[in-house]
Amino acid sequence: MAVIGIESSAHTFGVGIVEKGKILANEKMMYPISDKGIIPAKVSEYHAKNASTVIRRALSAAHMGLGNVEAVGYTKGPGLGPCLEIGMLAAKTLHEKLGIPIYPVNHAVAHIEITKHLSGFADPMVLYVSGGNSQILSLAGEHYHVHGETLDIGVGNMLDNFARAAGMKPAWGSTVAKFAAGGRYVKLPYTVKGMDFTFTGLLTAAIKLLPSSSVADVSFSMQETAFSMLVEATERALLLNGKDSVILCGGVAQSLRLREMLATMSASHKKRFYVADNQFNADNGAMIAYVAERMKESGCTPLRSDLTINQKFRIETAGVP
Amino acid sequence: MTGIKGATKIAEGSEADIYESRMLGVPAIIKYRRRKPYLISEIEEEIRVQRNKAEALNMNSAIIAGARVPKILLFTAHSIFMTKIAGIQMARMAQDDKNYNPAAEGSGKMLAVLHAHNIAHGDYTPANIIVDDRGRAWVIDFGLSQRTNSEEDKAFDLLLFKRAVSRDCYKAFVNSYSENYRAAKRILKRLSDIERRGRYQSRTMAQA
Repeated sequence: MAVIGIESSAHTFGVGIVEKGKILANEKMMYPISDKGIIPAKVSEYHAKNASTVIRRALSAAHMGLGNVEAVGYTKGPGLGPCLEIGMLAAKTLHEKLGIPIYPVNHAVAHIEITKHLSGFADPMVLYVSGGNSQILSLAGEHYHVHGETLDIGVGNMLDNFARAAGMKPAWGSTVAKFAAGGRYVKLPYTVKGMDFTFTGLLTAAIKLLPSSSVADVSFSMQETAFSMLVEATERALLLNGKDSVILCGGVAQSLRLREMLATMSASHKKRFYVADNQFNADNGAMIAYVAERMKESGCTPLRSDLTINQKFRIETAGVP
Repeated sequence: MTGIKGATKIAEGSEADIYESRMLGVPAIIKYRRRKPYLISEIEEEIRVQRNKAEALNMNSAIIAGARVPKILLFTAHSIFMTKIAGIQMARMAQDDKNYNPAAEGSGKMLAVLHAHNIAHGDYTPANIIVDDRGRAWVIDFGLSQRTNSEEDKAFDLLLFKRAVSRDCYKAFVNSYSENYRAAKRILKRLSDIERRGRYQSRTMAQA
């Protein structure tokens, strides 16, 4: 018997199927991003239109029918309200139609837990980086503790904003990386406060440099500066808390340069390092299904009043099964 | 560098290796800023040299301002040799230790002195307070400190300390801070502005 998970916190509508921790399907459809970015109402329309298609695709990839599904999970938050609504609606439909239990899942917990599961590490220091989030965390009892985080925007958001200001085409993060390949270093503000960091000052300074410097130089320098801040803060959290391993997850974990830096940092302290395959770093349904299955196994029974969405669902307030 | 001759490595921070030795006849601490192999050389050198320099300058400024801070014995491109403070980290003290409350007040006063002289510490947590046997608080690790008159930077010192201690400890700390720093009210106002920013709200709720 399998568990189905539905993810719809941003522009991806993802459906995953998991059975005893094994990933049987991980299907998705992504709203095509224009240079206007994500318009929540349009994206939710797109999700509503494609929800049943993606669910059908996932079932067929897992070679099963709805009769084999014994539970459903959905992303409760954080994310964009109108997008989250569609995922929840799809999950509630399955819940009521099939009479199976339903589990609300925290998006950040799901990214981290699936990566932890695939890594086999028991208690790693986590760097979670995406468009909206940039956090350094580790498990403290039944909750994640945030050691450090961005005090303004997520690192992915910074890369996107810069790319748009520089007139690049989507997908922005990887486009910045392509431009950065031939760049040379120019000095930009480097802001780490304890284990927290900020990106808006860096973004503004980088955009101001654009008219007088080459796009390659600014892309390279901004990317190096931002990733250095993240890895340095992770290094501090790692050593202060004496963990034996490091994992990287979230959309920006697809960056090869960030992976390289974090791997080098971890190796320099003889710590193990893991980053999952990109299908799990991008938003996906498998991670939601995985956490929902764990919630089911641990005997968690969500109240009817928990079956909502929460756009600002902080990870500290979410339990970890 | 794998070690310092005649010195014993006592700790590995994220920034630096800490050695203990004797110098000029007194117990000394040597803070050596390690290489960071994951950084490009420009950023690495910038961080090592600039932070080392800023740290030494700000320690000296803090001493001149009247704060309890280790004294610098020798300074090189990547290391600082300083006097050793005898005592224990406030972070390792039991809350019922007779020196705990004096330490909370003392760390509030020390931060007041630093802020009154426009020094933001940058990592003001109980791990960076050494409490001597008379309950006096000494401030160490100026590695992330900066000269600034920004309310925001000063408020972050308060925020870091607040997040790391109990409510009672913070109360003693902040009372002493307010008594010893004329602009304290403005900084505390800025702190509550920061805490009202979305991402701190549920964190505060989760802690409550």
